[in-house]
Amino acid sequence: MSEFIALRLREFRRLTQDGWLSLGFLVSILFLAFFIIFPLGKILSVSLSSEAVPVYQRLIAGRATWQVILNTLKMGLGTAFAGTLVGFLFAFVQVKLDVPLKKFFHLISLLPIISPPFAVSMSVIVLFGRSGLITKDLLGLRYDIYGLDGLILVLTISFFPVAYLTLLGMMRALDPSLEEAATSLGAGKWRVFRTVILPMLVPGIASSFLLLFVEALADLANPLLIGGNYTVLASRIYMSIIGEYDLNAGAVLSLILLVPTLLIYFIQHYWVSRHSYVSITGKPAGYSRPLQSKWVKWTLFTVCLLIAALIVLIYGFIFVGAIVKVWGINYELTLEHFRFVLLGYGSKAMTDTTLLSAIATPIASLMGILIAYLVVRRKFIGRNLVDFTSVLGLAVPGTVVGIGFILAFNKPILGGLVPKLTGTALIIILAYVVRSIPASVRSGVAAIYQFDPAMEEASSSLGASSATTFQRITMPLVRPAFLTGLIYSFTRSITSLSAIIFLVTPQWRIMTTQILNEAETGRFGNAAAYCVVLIAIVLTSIGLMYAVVGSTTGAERMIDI
Amino acid sequence: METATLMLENLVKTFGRKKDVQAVNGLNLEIHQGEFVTLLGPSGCGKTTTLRMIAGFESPTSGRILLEGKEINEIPPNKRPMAMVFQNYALFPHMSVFENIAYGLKVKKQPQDQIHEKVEIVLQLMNLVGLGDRMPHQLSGGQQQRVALARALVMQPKVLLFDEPLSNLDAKLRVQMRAEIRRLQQRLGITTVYVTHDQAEAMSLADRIAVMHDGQIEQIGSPVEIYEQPASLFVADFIGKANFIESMVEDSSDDHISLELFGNSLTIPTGNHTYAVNDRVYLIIRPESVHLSHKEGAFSGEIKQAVYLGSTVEYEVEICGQVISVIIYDPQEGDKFEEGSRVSVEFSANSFHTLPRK
Repeated sequence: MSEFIALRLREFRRLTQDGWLSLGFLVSILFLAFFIIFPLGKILSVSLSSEAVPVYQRLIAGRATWQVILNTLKMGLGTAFAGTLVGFLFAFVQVKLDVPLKKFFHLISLLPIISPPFAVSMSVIVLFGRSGLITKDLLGLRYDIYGLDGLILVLTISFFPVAYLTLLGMMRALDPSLEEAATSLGAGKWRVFRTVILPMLVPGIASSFLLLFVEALADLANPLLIGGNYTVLASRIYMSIIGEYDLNAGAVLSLILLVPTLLIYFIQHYWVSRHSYVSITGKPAGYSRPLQSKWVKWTLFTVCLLIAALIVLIYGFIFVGAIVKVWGINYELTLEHFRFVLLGYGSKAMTDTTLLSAIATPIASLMGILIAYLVVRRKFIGRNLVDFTSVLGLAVPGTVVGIGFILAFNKPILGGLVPKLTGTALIIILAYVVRSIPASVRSGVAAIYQFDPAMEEASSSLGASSATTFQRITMPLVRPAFLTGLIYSFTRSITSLSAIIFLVTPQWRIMTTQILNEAETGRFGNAAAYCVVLIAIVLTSIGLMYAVVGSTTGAERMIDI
Repeated sequence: METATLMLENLVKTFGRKKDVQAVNGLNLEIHQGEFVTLLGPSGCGKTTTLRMIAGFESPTSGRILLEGKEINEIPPNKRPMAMVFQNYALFPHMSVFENIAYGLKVKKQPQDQIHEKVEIVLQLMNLVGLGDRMPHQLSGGQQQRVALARALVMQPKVLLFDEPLSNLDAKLRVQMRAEIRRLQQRLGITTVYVTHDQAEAMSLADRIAVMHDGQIEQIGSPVEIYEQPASLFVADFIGKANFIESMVEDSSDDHISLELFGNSLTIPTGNHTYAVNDRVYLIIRPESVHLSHKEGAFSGEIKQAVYLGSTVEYEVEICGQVISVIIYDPQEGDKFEEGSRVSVEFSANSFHTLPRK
């Protein structure tokens, strides 16, 4: 036993001998403990305390609660099913069909990733709503888009890229010789697809399905706008905090949302990925012969084209909304919405949001790489815990992070060592960082696994300290991953709503919450202008980050996977 | 007495959650100033783990590593006056050849002009003149290998470590690099530890070979000793080919023993082991020490298999129910033997070697 302790102590001492690198490790670990574990623990302690008992009684007694849970499940399943299907279709067309417009399809599938919340919902409402341009004016229908069908449509468009990218990677990594083997054994095309390709993709399909389910459950913006009377857990949490000022109820509902979300996320993370037949990081394994059947080919192409056209229409229509007087009614051109956002009331939101995101981005990326390095290359007790905690920020729904932050930081803690953080810009930055770290960690982990540890050992053998090695060898080699982390963090931060919606104060205006304000009060024009500006900021920043950090080698991986 | 530069005392390394995987199991080794020692063994014998402990990349579970008499167990790899050459070279892909070689000197904060001078010298030494501006991926395998070696040599280490550095090269280049490494080591006189699983590499390079098995050194000695007087069945079998013939001691004097061999009696020098009458032994003989002919001889056997390899022919000959491997060199010169034919077999008595049999 004493030997065990001595060994642990030695491991720990090694961790502290790395100069500024040790400091980085320490800061990262403390950050995870303080801003992920602590707020979540706070939710647990509040929702399981005696004060929460009346909340449970009320929830269990009220039929509405069960309806909300049922609604949430229906929405989640519907989105997961539709999103996986569309993602599969796009990936299949990309990999297995020899058709035109493939590059276009690819770019269209990436658009929703950088899109601000509400954009799709607003556009869909104006296009297909009760007085929608297409439904009423063009087809003469009286169709009510608000509710489950609208939600599933909007969420599918927003999240199918997750399924698309997962399945695309998998399909490309499939060894074509397997297909050839099956064919040479006498199987026809359809049989090969059914008995060889599909079974190999099951982990990818399962993984996409679960991820989409979780994403749909966690989404707040769309249920608020297009949900109508169809209440789901995320919007119910929002109402209890914003409408009823009931933090206890918020905490309890958060727990109800958190448990299945986390469960599914970790099933996906640990089980499905372990049962994968193909490695996603692998290079394309060879040339796969495109599907020959004309009938199948052009049917799939047409479906793909229609969906792509719908996405273009939806995003294009946001731009239209931003430059017309009253979107959906009066199509007279005007610049007043852009004036409002760029020069008027919205300009502060624009600079504030960009500033806070720009502060959070490098912090999240650097910490992500440090944590990745720590997890992959260092041996110490608690390594798995660090790994686990680092992905929590993404697994936990944004609203839950927000409530955890309020509960944890609405008064000074550690005997006043940390002041009350709610109401400051700092807490927003912290929320951004928490939400962005997981992606940085994951791209960092993938990158570090890819190069031979002998490279770092060689540096060490030549006399370099761990810190020098990290700076001169590791960092340059993971630069593409670092850039991916930067881009992702920035995009994620500036478009995030759910995590910060409970944290914003009037001193700091955040664009996403401004969009919500404008949209809720029916000023869709201003909201659309915000969306357009937000997209422009994201695209410009990506370009800037490429220029500053980027090399072309591997940096497109974010776009190209 | 000469003091050892590098000493490994009772070195133990265990892996695994329950510390149940013994990679190195009480290893002792002394390496002298300027000596070239190879650690030779099959995969999993603990040779690489031993090397990595010397380099500092693994810390021993117990035991001591001494450099010039001082324990270095707790000294991190970057503070040890050693340099390692890696199996995959581990050249830094984002640095040019020059920058790769200069890396260690820069880390040491040596003045720029000195760095330049030193790098130029090793570039010349390693036949790399003119390649300083190339990136690693623009080099051939052999050149990459030379850069890796140059990068280690430029540090003027007290101990040079090699981890199977030639295993990625093709056969011809490997032989060439082998000679080059030996030549350089002799010239510079750097104490060297070299890990390999290739016995030809070990024999051609080393002053002494440490044959490793199950985390321990099975035998250490010069290539001649290891080949001609293997200390165990494992060593005899791992280094080259060997025939093991079960036998029993019939008579034993001070310097000779008599043994039974296929019904005949054989008297050979005692060797390293002392035996009593009726002790069970293995008689060991290398395939090249067995001779075949069509003439009448002491032993008669049947050719079970003949494999023609050009410079040699390998035969499997059955004598009294036991199959013996035989290698005949220069088949163009002597007789050839058909499969199924009967031959007479002769052994050179001086080539026999014995090991106790349990």
